[in-house]
Amino acid sequence: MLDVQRLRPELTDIFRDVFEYEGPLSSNTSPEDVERWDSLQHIALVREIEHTFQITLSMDEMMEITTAGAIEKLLRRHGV
Amino acid sequence: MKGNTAFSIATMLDELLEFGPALVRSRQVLPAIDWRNAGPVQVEKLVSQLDAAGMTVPHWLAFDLLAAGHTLRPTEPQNSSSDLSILSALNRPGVKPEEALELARRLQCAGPLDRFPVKIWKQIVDRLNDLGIAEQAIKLALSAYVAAPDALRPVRSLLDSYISKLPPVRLRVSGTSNTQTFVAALQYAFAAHDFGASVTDGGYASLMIELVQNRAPTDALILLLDQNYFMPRDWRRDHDQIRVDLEERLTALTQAMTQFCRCTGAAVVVNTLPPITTPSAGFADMATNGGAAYISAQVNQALASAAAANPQILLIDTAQALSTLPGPARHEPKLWYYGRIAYSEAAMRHIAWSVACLWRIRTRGPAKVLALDFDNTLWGGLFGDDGLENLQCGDDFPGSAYKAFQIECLRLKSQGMILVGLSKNNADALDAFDKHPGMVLRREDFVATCVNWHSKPENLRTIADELGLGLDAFLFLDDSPHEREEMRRLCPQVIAPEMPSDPAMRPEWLRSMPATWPIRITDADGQRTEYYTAEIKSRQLRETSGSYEEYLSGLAQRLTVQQVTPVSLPRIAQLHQRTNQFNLTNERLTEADLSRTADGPETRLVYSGSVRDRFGDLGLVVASAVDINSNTAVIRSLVMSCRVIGRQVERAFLSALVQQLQTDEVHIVVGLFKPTPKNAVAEHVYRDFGFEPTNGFEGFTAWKLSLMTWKAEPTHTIETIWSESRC
Repeated sequence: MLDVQRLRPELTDIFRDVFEYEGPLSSNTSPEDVERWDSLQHIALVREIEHTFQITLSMDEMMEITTAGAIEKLLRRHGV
Repeated sequence: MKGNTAFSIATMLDELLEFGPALVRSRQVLPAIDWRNAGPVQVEKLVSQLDAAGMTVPHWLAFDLLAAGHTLRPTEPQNSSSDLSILSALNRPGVKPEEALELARRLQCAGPLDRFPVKIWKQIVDRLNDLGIAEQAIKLALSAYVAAPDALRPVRSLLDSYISKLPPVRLRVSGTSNTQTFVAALQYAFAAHDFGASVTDGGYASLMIELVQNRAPTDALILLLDQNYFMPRDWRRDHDQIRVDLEERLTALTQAMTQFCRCTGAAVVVNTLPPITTPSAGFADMATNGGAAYISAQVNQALASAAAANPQILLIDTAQALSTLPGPARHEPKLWYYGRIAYSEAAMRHIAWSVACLWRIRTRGPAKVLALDFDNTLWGGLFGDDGLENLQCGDDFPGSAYKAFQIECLRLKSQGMILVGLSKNNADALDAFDKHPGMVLRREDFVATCVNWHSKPENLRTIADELGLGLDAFLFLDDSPHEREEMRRLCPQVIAPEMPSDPAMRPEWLRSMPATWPIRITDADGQRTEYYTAEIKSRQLRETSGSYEEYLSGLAQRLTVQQVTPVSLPRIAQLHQRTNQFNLTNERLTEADLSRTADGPETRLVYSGSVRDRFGDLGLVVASAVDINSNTAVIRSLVMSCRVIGRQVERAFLSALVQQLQTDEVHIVVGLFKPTPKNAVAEHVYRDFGFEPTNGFEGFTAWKLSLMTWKAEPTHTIETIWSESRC
């Protein structure tokens, strides 16, 4: 059984590329911890996730992403 | 997989490669392999197997291998393309930075750069970056930006400082939607075209506010339009009303654009609406007032009219900008509803690229000379081997493709480029143009030809000297990769693009080459060949005449000086834009700058001079803008076409100008000069005329002439007359 709390390493890269965020990444990491995570950069984040994992997210899924953990959950649901 | 040993891709590869040729032929399994897991021995084994089976490495596999950092044996890539061998050489272990630099330069010359998959770009840029030649890595990554934005990743941290060193341009962005993602795209696209753009964003849907506020100073206001803004807001209104709404909206927009240009002197760059992918009236879309296609056509027509009427309004054809992007990839509904972003990220890059490309052509001008090879470029076959009657050019295949190519060359000539011929042949090859029935081009269409057995770079330099043009004015088209490479090596300033080897691809390829795109076509463009032909004739006379003075007198030059008129304005502006050598202040005054009426105490007078001599009309070749403030006149600009450098035209023109100022009761004339890498030829104009040096400022050297004591000296070599037609 995989640890549901464990984030895959690609997310660290994505957070660095999109937000220039170098701090510790946990499943609770949210816009409050990441300075540049605003509504515009949110689009860049979604684009980056879609691009990296070759998936397409819906509007609902886009809004679901409120923490790093939520991304991990979403990715597993998409089978990646 | 054996027993309990760990899963190893390397081992798996070994087993797979037993079936190498079969897997390559069926294109199975291998495309899924990440070749970074393979060692050089394994790659070598695969290539040997293919060799033994009489096969070469196919393109897709070569890309996969190269992207993973492998090299290919020099024999393999040759039958695909020379690009692959460059990539392979770049991957070679122990390649020296100097070698890599040369390879990267060749890769970039070879353009267009959208031919590689993204992963190849990443590999190239990573490699160059690792070798410590980051600047070249940045340049290549930027040139691949539209197709492969990911290539920028490895060099992203270096980009800001690279961009800050480029010639600056100030851009303001506005539009009918959220333009924030467009701003980023513009910065990279402009960097790829050698501009350091500082871009500010007017904010969401700020179109009309930005246009009315005139918040300069910027060099250009860039407007991003999208279909939504022009669509009916309320389908309860009847369709006639919908039409009226649209017309009102368009009138407001085009008037505001014109007003903005007039008040700020800045340019407006605006995009047309892209082709409709989702109609709002089905098949009747184009024929219904509320139809999306109908609306789009109306908008584009209105924009085109505004741009045609005002040279400060520059139009980007969005259909053309997005032509390589499939319809559904141009717009992302999710982005639209979430953030009111009207175009996908890829579409933003493509549109930004067009804007930057247009800006580059506008500031640096398109190529002036089309230097053409003959054999297998203008016609199929070899004149020397096949004989005149067997050359392919005409209405049958494959001559039809060559004929179409000649038609494109003739079109470019009519749009202001001049044609020169460079062919390795005996001189009688020129007979083909007169005697072969299928030829579109005639011998007289060429301003100069070098048909001999010398090297082409050498010939091209001779022609450049004869025409008095720099090498960077030349676009060289030749079907031979060797000739192109030689030209790039020996005349690196000449644009020598890769040409498709299939003649059928070439006419459209030539049309899609930005180096040939005019910004605005003036009447002078169609006559440029005559001017340069006259120039070459008079240079030949110079060689046979005695003293230089005698030669000039023998030319029977006549200078007609005139104040600016609406007819001469576009040409005067063009002269300011195009002239690099005889340009004293390097101020790129536009039509708006030149027609600016007095704001403040200064009055701006603009004069131009046209020259004819016994060989023909040279047209409007010299111009100047003079600002007068009470009894002091400052010569803001003095530009002269290189066609008449060395003929004392500037002296006669300046003399006419100063005499006029004297009559206007000006006491002091100040002449300015700003040195640039190209304008040394004009350095001593004021000194030679009798001006005294005075205090310079802001990079200008300044010269002063007191008109209280000055007396006109007649110029013996030129007859000067004033034309009566005044503004």
